[in-house]
Amino acid sequence: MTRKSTSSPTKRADLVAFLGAICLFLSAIEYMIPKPIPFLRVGIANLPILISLDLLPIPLLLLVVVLKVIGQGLIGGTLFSYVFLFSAVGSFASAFAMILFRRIFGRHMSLVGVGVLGALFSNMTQIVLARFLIFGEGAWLIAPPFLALGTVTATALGIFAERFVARSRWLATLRAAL
Amino acid sequence: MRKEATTPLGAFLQNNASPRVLFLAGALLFPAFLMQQDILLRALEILLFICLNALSGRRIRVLNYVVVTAGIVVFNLVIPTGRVLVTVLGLSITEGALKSGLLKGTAMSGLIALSQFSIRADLHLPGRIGGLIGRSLFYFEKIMGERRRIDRRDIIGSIDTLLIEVQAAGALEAGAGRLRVRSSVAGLAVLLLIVAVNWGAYVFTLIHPKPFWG
Repeated sequence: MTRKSTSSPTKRADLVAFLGAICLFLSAIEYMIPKPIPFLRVGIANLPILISLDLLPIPLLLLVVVLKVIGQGLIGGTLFSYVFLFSAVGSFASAFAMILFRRIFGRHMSLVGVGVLGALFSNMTQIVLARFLIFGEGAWLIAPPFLALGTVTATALGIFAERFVARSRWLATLRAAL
Repeated sequence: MRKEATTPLGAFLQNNASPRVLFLAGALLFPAFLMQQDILLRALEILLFICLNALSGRRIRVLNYVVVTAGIVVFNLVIPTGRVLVTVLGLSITEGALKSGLLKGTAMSGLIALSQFSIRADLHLPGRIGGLIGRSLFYFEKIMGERRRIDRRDIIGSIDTLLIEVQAAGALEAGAGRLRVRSSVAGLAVLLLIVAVNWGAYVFTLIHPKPFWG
């Protein structure tokens, strides 16, 4: 599990930017899915973070999250809105949870499990934020369907991530290079 | 990076206001809008932001704003506060809950509209993070340009090939030049007017507290 890099900092920075770009591409796809609450997301933009958990050290993983959050704010034009705050809080909660559980359990926990835990942490922090910022006590009403939907989509994403990691030539090349 | 604006205001702002100045205008509008506690004036400000977005050539989904605001109002109505205005299907609609819901709902919708007006994708942020974001947006555009190559019959395989090719091509094109826009006096004047109108509305409510409905 230790990541000792032999690649140059420039190459690694470029990889971080590239992973950030994939997050933005997936965000653009997600943006097209209609939703009643603007911060309610399927979470496909977290896929690059999930597949690079074993690829990058923690600071670079968090840098990908920073690029994802700010990039989403720029492309979606939500930098000045609560949506940006929800996105930032949810993304970091999810990333911290995924990194933590992956580091603790290693390959004993599949990407499905890691992804589901990440989604639960992300959704719970967003519900707490919604309680104080917009919905008031009514926020607890959306909690059960919100968490249930997050679990279902995270399971599907986890399955996809497992298959992608197993099959991807792109990822194999990166693993060899880093 | 930049798409050609198809409306007069969109073209005007694109040629006369740099992304950084537009960002600054948004930053100045942000507190004036959020501090506005009169719901009617706030609604008018949202209408202004939506109109500015429409005039700038952005696609407006009015239904989205309505659904977002209505959803937040409904969730706030669940907890009654203040006097009962009316009872609908057994649910008491109270004044306090309605006002609280409307303030939060309009804050959410208004900030989205304001943000969409004042944030442009070609905004170049300073520092190392700014450079990385610029690089990310460069790759993002490359991926978007090739997205039709993703094959539903072989999603993983086609995405994989796309990623390999885009990353390789992107590495060769590193440091592509950006088109810089300088702000003109006319551009600054238009943005200043928009900022002044919103701050004026807020100052008005300080002189005449909650003049319409708040």
